[in-house]
Amino acid sequence: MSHSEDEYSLHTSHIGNDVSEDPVQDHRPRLLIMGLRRSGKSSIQKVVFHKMAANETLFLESTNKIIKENITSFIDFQVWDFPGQIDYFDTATYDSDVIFGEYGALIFVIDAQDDYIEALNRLHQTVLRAHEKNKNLTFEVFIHKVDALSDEFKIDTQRDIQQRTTDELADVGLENVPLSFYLTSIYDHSIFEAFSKVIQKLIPQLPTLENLLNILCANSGIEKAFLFDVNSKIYIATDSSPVDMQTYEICSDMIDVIIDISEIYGRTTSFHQINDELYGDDQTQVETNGKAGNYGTTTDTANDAASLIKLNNGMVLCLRGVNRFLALVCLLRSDNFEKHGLIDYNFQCFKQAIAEVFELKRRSAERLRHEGMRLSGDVNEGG
Amino acid sequence: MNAIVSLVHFCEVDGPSVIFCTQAFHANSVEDISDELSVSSGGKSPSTGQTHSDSSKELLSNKKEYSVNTNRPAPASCASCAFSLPPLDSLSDAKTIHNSEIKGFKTRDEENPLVTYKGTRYPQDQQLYAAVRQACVRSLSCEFCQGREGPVLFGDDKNGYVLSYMFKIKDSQARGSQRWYSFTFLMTDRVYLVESWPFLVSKFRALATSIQSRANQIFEKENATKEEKNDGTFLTRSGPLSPTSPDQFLRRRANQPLRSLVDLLRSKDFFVQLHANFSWILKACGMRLQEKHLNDQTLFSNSVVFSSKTIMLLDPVATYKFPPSDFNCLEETRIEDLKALYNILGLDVFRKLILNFVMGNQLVIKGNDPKIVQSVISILKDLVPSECCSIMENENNYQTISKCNILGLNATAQIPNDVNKSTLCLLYISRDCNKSSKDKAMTNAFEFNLQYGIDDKDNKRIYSAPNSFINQLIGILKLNLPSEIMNTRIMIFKEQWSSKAKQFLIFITKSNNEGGNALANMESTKQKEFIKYIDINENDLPIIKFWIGCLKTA
Repeated sequence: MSHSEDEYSLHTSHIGNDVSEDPVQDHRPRLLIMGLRRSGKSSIQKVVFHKMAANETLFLESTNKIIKENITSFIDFQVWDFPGQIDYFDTATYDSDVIFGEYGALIFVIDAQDDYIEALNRLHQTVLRAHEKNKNLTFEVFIHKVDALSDEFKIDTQRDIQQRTTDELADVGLENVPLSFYLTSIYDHSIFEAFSKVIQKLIPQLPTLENLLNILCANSGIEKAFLFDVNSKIYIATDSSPVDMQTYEICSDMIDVIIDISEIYGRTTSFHQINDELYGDDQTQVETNGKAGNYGTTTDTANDAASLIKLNNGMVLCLRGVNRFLALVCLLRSDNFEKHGLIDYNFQCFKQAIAEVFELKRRSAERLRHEGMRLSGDVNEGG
Repeated sequence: MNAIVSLVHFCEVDGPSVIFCTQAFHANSVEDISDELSVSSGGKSPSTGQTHSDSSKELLSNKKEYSVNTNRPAPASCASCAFSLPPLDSLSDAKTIHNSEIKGFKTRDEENPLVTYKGTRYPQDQQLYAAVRQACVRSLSCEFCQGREGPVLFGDDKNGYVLSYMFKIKDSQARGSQRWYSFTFLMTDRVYLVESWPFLVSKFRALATSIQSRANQIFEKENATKEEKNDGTFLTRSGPLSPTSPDQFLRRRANQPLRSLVDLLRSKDFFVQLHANFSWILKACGMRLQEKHLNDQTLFSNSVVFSSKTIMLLDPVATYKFPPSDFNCLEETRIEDLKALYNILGLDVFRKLILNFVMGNQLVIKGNDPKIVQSVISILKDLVPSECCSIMENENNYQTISKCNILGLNATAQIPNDVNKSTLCLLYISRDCNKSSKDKAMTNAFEFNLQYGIDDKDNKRIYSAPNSFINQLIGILKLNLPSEIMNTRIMIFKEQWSSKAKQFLIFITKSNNEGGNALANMESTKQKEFIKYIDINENDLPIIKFWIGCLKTA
């Protein structure tokens, strides 16, 4: 996943007439992060996409313009971080059609530790006007900064916010606008999980991917499998068994471990190109959520990163690289891990299937680009 | 020149907001007070310059009321974007508009009584307010400058064009320890704005730097005191900002507005100074292009190649201050151009005069008619790069060479005896009263006398060197060209020589860097070759050196 910060290009300034040369890029799904000031928008963006440590986000300065960021990964999308102080529906100053017109999701961040009435009013307004501009926009509400709240209070808050919002929207006849609510915090994995769910909605191939994962799990005796985006630790698909927060955390921690190890021992800094074989079961003890485990990494070629961590409780964590951006992390019982060959074979099949799915996407994107080029060529000739 | 300068801020609570703005009012347009500065009047300038009235005093008082009777909604009372005034007694030159509440400053232009500068939080005019507000929002939350701090120019015909200089200042209480500010300069004329870019940017930069350094000092101080409080052990990572837990940190300040600039910089009269600066920028920016423009005019008088015509029209002050018609009606009492001067003075005196001048000696022009003196000065000053001459046109007492190198004195003034006469050249020139001014042969209408200074008349070899500055110049004057072409030719001649000077400067600095004293001999032969190459007579080296000195310091 490569980040190209748009902040440093002129692109940002042309909010009014943002005509991108590249039609493919222009139609990237957009994640619009909105909310009141100080609700944690930039922090979320920094933590999720820049791996900033959560406590460092305290020192972020306030955002004063829309920060656009292109994320190039399994699917390309843009993250737009809005300043909370500015009303972007003000038609005199901003072209809200351009801002809200694209396919994507609007993430509204609410500071749960603060009095959220004002935030709810703003949310209400935002949903109302954004829905007016673009019927396809999905709305995600992050009830943020819940790390300091007790579990009970969290649930209460969520219920309260959900209740108020749906009531208000019902009053203006917008019952059918899809609104999802998440309890999030940058101090644990909840923000990644919430982002995962948001992004999953933007992936048209999601059902296919889930189906593939289901088949893999069923045939290899895997308890839980996640398809991760390696750099952001967002999971883009999982099998249909319920997601347990702890499982997600341990899987996502595993990715961190692998990246860290490969940065130390790998020939390049990239996790995908671990060529060194590591036999260090005894030398390195890895602490993941209190469970001590040993691990081994063996890989041969770029996309064949693989790693195993045996946990104390008789489970095995298994990671396989799928392509440049994706990795499959599964949790399975060590009894089921006896059948190495079968699992490896199944992995291969799975990998191939994924490759086919994204190949289709790549081709259609290419076609689009060609069309775009032809179109601009026509324009040039015409002009 | 219609412009409005403002300081805008990205407020933590309110987003982009205007803190303070200063605009100039020209008193000779009563009903146009708002229209004149309203950007919506588009490219059309207020054509009120011609009908300037003497009743400006009453108009000023009218305006005072006007500024008070405003229907602007009360500005947000956020401390960080409010502007405040120091106690009244500390104000000296700026006069507060003071009725029920203090709304701003008013400064009168001493040199031009028709102009006042008003500093308020918002402009009074609705349309102008919208434009300023728009500029503010755009400069702080849309436009992007490479490196994030610096100038950008944007705008359109509807809302005017804006030069915005963005900068951030340190504040230990702010998120990320810094706050964003910007100076915006809004005007309708894009060409003018672009022309003023170097000037405005340099002034804004200086202003911003001074604010930043002040803020930095205070930031350091505050950090130091906080560190002391925190025993120093706590500070490894979390920095001086968090003596408490992150949540408490957020909670504590979440709903507190930040300090205003006055408190932040701990300078009570910050806005007074700011207003003074803004007013000066407005004035100087107006003067700047005006001067350039008039130079052009004398150079290409009556020619149609007037690229900056709009600029001329825009500024009623220009037409008021330097009415071009003045020159025409006074034709008989002034000397028109260099050739005329040459004809009047004759070869020898002219030579000596010019030679002394271009070598950097002080030129003192004395005369009973200041107009003649002025005209001589204005002719002569075009002979050297503008950096090389500092002019005092009409003085009653002698001024030293350090103050000016062209001095216009009135007839009765005396040169003190202790002045070094070799660095001074005195020309007394006046109209000969015995002869009729109607005499068409202008050459006879003047009497003159040249004293002091150096002369090369005795040295025949140098005197006749064809490539020397003075001989080349006289060669041009003898060409018998029409005056316009002559002027152009002389200007080109000047440019040639100043480019020679620049080349020589580069040559000298280069060779100084490369070789030490040991190589001095070799350097001097090299230097001889070089000046031969760029076609400078050795005796003209003082000229070149003088010009270099001026170009360097400029």
